[in-house]
Amino acid sequence: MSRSRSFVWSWGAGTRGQLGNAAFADSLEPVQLSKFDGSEATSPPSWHGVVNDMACGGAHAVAILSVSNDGEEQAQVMSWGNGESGALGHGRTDDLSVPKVVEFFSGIRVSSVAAGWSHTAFVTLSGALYTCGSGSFGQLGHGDFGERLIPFQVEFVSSKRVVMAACGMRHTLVLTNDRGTPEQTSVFSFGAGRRGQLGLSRLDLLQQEHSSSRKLVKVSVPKEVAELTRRANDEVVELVAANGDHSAAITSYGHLFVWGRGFCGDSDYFEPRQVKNQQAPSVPSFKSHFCGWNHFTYVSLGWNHGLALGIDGVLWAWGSNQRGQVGTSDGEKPVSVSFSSETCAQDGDCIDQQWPKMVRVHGITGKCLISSAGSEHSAALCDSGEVRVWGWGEHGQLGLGDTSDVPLPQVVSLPGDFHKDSLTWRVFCGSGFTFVVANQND
Amino acid sequence: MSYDDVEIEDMDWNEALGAYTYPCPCGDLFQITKAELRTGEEIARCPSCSLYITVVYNPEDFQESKSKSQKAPRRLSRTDNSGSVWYTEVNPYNTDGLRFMYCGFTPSRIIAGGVF
Repeated sequence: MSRSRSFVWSWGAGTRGQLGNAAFADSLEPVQLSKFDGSEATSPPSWHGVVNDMACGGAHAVAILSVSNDGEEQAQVMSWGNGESGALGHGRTDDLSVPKVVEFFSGIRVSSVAAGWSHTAFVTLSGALYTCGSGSFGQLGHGDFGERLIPFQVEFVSSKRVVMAACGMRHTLVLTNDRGTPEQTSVFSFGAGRRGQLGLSRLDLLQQEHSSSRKLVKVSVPKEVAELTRRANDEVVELVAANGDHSAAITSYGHLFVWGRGFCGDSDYFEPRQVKNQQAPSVPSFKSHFCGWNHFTYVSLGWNHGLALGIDGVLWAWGSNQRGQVGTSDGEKPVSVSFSSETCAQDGDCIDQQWPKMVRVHGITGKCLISSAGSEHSAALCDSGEVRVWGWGEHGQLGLGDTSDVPLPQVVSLPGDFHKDSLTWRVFCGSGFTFVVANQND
Repeated sequence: MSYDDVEIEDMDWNEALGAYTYPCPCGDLFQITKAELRTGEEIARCPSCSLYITVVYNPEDFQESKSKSQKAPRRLSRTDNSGSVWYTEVNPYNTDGLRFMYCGFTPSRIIAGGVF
């Protein structure tokens, strides 16, 4: 029998119970929630099992656990925090400071989750999408603007196989592939679209319900982001990300696309546009479609900044640095992003391309393995086994013991008895709080 | 410094708080009451942190309610390409001039609606 376990720590804003530590208060330092021992349940807080995926939203969080019951592995979905709009999926609206099993998913295998400001998306192993919570901007995708206190399947994408979902403040992105043909992917979006975060052209949006001269745009039925579906030469979307009024995607070529609200006061982008790294040297591309160092493996968005991980393990950032969330020594100087107006030349080098202004996050030793952006703070895990945090700290979301902002990545020390080298680490930032999960497979 | 400029149409009316709200990055809500809007206040504060936003709105929309006759629903309709008829009317439950819009093949078969 496997003795896998998870270690989980949380810190930051906690007044809605989002830290899952049985308290309704902020925590300025990391608190270990439990040992996550797969073989035995711990008494409160009711954490047990291995965390397979997790998502942190505005003030709630949801996790997928594998729990060992009498030697039999069972999957469980748990949620906690702000329950006001039903985003926890328990059929009620009270806040929970202790994780509670979402009974709806007993018998349904959930493979990934996403959390927005007050809504939640669940993707099942069989490729179905369920949503619950606030739908006031159409972000649940059910064709209406009501809230759902328990998860409902999004029928409009039921003919597709849903691979993953991403939730922004009030919008949702869904990555699908045609059943049986994973090489054909599509991205669908729904919810609030006024800042361009749905990736639909203005023309498309004008034909939607609730568009008017008053500019507020809500889309309650999933719409295909055509720009990302029709990529040339079998380039497919592999990852979508959203937060605030921003959206992003990474393709199988490692190309990064960003759309939605403009960073640092720039105008909004209504269609996905490829981000090119201005800092990368203008080396000749060695093959068509491979252009310099513009290859990314992961992207995470805040409300005013973004983080992208290069294939070489270098972490890049862009956007507002007002609270230090970009992680450079440039102080409060904002870092604007510009987008290439055209795609890379098929052959030849990229010297003439207009590169965006990304900056390398300072103070990361070794390779960055994974990063996460909260609303105004950031966290990263390095191959040296350190968790580093920077940005806004008013609610203790940096876990450094105080409430100051930190402009350069600092190591946060995690309490507990563990060997960090034997663990697989992940970090999840909510709006004003942070979770770190470390999985051990003996 | 104001965290953001937010238009009133992007804020949610929260009955329990008696205020228009907008998400604060700390996880709580920026809040401003109708009474504050009537006095011309444009700062919405978050009760949990130091941040605040500037609310963009037309003060005339929040002046004391006009005569009853002006509050009566006023309906406009137009037909789009698919043949659906869109109805827009002044929301009778709201004195703020916000309009209610719904789509249906007939007014009695409402398939989508909401305050915006």
